[in-house]
Amino acid sequence: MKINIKTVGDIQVIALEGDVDANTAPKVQQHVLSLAEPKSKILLNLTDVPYMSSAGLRMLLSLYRQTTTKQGQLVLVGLGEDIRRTMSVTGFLNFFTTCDTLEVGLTVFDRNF
Amino acid sequence: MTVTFRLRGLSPGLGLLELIKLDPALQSRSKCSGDQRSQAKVFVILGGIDRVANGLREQILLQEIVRLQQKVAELTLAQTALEAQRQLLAGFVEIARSPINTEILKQFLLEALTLSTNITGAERGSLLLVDRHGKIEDAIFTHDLTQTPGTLFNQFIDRGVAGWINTHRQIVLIPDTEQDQRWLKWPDNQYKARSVLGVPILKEQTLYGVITLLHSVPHYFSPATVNVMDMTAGQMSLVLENAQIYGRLQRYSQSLNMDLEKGRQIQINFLPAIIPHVPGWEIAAHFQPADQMAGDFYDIFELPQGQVGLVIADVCDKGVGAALFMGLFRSLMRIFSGQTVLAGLSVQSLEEHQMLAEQYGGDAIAPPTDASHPMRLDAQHMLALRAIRLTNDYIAINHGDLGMFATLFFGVLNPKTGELTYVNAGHEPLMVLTAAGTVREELRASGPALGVMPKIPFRMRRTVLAAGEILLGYTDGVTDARATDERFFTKPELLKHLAPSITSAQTLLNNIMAAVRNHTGVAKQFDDVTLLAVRRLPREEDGWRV
Repeated sequence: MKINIKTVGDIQVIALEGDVDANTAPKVQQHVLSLAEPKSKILLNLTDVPYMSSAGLRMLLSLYRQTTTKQGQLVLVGLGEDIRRTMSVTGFLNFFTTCDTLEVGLTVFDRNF
Repeated sequence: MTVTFRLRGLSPGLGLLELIKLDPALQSRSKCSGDQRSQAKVFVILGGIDRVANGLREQILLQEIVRLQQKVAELTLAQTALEAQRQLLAGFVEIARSPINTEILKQFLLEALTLSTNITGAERGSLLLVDRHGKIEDAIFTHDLTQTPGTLFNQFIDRGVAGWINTHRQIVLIPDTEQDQRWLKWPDNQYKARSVLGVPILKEQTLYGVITLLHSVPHYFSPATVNVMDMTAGQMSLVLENAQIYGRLQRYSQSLNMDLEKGRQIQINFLPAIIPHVPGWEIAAHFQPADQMAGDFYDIFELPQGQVGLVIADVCDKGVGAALFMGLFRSLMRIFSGQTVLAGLSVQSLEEHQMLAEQYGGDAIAPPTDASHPMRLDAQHMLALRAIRLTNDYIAINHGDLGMFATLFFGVLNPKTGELTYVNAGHEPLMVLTAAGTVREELRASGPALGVMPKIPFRMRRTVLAAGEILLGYTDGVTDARATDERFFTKPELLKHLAPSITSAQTLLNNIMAAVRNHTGVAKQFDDVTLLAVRRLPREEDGWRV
């Protein structure tokens, strides 16, 4: 699992590479949750994540809660077909803002926030 | 200077040997080597006589012999040490090969001790093993003790030779015990040691043990013996260090395993011990955790008015955390559905329970909107299904910060009519199969997974199972089962194993599991696997209705 974090303007862009499962999710959560500061803008790029288990969904849920309680914004981009399907069945898609590409993802944050 | 002076007074032709014979001072000096050679060169230049050269060779040869003798002694020492190392290494390899076994380690240490007494010529030897805190853990002796010093164990080594070694961390050689205060005599000991060699088994200042070698003759052990033992002890420290680390690791992992095993037993208690017998129906379940503790579960229980509760669920993540929540989800579902009311365990009556549920708001669980199910939902079923909403809110409100959730299907079955009212909270669709193994209907998710968000609506839906039809539920451990090449089992593969006909719920599950095992082969089970099959018996099999 590779975690690449960079900043584009005032947006923290986190790119994950590899499966997010019970083994890798704790490491991802540790890196990602620390970025969820008040009013932070976080973009999670999942383009290079082939598989996400329920442990990965749990990590997403924790991140969602953190950003929501701290009035931050969270955008997911590059969801693969399988991940999108799992998120659809579990109802997760209804809670998250998702975009197909990184370029589009960077434009959807509320600038007046 | 003296030499040149003397030479002047001598007649030419007098040989060097004669010269040396004549002069005792020069004789004694000839034993030395350094300036002797330069002096010899002077003789040769001045005399130029063969005999001088011959005598010189003789001297050089004598020196060479002394040098070779030293070399041989060094090589013998190295050979002895090498042999000791070789033998120790053989024991080391044996220990490394076998799963660490106290008996093998003890055997190795006894051999190492015997080897030490052999190479030093000691009459007796002992080996005290000490733990991290400097307490005696074990003691090995080359000889049988008439009285085993039972008081030895668990004591700190602070006295005698061993105590001195523990403090100074170096080899101690006592040439004569009569002259040394460090040697403590044991009372009632017939054997009288005069020479003592004490060797620490050290690695980076950690003391693992002390070897004590004894002989009844004073001044018995030579400095060469000290060197050999120094090297031997170095080898032994490697083995002991590994054994201690491994032992600590093993003890830790054993206690962890025992805890997990206890947890597993408790978790099994959260699953139905026996599947309730429902006349006219065959119910089968399969549960196979990936690790000792699982997040999957299924439940089958009786509800008021002869209804049957059916649950299949998958708590997110794996291991102990998931297992703890499994126990919570399962129990909340039973309590809120009214199962415990039936068992006389509820704090409120069924009527009160209904009132409580209504306070949450009638819209919370919306009636089905799709036109395919125009029939009214069973009031009794709706009451039980409020467990979904209550469990969701309980988890989301009390444990929201953990991000734990479960995908869960809860169906309430009327066994007399085959009517099934359900909520699918984010779980993989369950399938209603015909006797021919085709999918007649999929019971898709009617709300998000439980625990994700408080106060969100879950839709109730309804279907009717006809005679011969089967309700099949599974967790993603089935479809996501991985082969050694990482390929998933997948849902299309699962569907292939349903046809051509289903004659028993149990056989169906057996067939599916055989196919999954065939797919995974020797690959390690990746996720928990759970299956639930509920089959309405065809009329000819249904003894109850006939």
